Amino acid sequence: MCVEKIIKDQNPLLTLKKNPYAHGIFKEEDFQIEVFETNETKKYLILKKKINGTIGYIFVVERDILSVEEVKTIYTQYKGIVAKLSNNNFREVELVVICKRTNDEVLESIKEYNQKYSHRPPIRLILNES
Amino acid sequence: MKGAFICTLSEEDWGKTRELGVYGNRFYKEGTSRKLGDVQQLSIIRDLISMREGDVAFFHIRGKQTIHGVYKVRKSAYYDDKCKIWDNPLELFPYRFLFEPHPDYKYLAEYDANIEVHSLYEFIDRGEIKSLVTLENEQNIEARGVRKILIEDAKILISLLHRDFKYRKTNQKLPFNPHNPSSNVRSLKDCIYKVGRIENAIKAVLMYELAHNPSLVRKIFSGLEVDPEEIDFVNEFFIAQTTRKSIDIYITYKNSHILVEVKTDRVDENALKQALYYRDLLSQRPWIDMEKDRIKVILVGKRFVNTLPDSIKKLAKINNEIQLIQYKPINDGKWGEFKDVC
Repeated sequence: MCVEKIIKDQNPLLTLKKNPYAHGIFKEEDFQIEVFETNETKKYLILKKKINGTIGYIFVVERDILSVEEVKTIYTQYKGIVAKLSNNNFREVELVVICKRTNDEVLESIKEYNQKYSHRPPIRLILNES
Repeated sequence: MKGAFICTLSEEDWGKTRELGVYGNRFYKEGTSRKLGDVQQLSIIRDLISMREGDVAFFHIRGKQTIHGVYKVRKSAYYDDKCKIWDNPLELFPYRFLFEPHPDYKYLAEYDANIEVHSLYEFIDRGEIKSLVTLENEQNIEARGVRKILIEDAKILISLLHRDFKYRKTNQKLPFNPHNPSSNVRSLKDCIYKVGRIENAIKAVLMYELAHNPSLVRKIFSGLEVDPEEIDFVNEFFIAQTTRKSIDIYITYKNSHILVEVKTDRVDENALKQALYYRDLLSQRPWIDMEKDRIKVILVGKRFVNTLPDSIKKLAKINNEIQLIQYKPINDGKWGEFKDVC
């Protein structure tokens, strides 16, 4: 429904850390991307998008199972990052969630979010079938 | 200090207004004998109706480009189309309220202390005044005689009046001879009509209730801490100053901020999208601290598209700060009742 891509990777964050363009999640022609911050304990990665200077960030987070509770936790983290890196401008920070499994409730909520927050970048959901 | 207002008037009416302690808003289109339309009449009521005795009032004199104060409201807004006060041959300025020099700052009012409007604009430009963007009438923006402002902005005005007092005052103490209307004048609460048909009518009801009905305030703040006596609120609040995007009502209490978008009839998904966008714009104002502050969105309407409650429930799984409140016109459209939907 709103799964954007399916990948197979034992450690997708490490792969993206080594090569942000791996799996075609981000495209080279759009932006120059470099790693800004990594957190292995909390399983996230922040990438910096650049064209003529910094223009935004991508918060990539990984979960095995993406439940509604996890989505809420991730969203709270995301809000904190938006506050810290872009003065509360949601337009400047993308949210990408990589997970192995999720459920319809989560998918419907993300779909609704992407429709209603039409001025924000959509939440991108990547399914990892490793 | 509970609430604060800035009222605009002409230079020629200021002398009498100040001396008698009575302000009036117009009934006719300026310079004509044509009655203002229902939308405009109701916008005047909407802007005045939340006024309470004890609120603070400032006066903006259009031609002189000055702001005068500090005054205290001694009788909340009422309608009087019998008693002639000002010299205008046609206009009675019937939407009125009474005021007196504020007892804490009597010296300012007695000497007609004032500041230049530009002093205020400097604070607006620096983002230190939150509830005003301009006092001028602009194209495509509703002309308003009375604006409710936040108390914290009123405090800045009071400090500016003190700053300039030495240079911007009369030489002599001015007389104050308070006007008192007959006892049978109508409260503005009894002047509302077309609730359910004109947006300003239900907005006026809501503004009155925010000032007078603690149970509605608690309903609006559900899930957030509140003392209904301590909230502050303004209408037609500019979220984004440059683009002049405004939300119908902005309410604040400590670290909680509430944006209220009102629709006369049906609230649809576009209204929700717009309100969520406005919330994001508000979060970018320099005085918002997203770590501590919470911003809630409330959509008020007579009806909601069928999918909306479900949509809000789904969104709540990610971020739970949207509320729907339904209103029902009562007393032949002279008032409205509110109830929670979700």
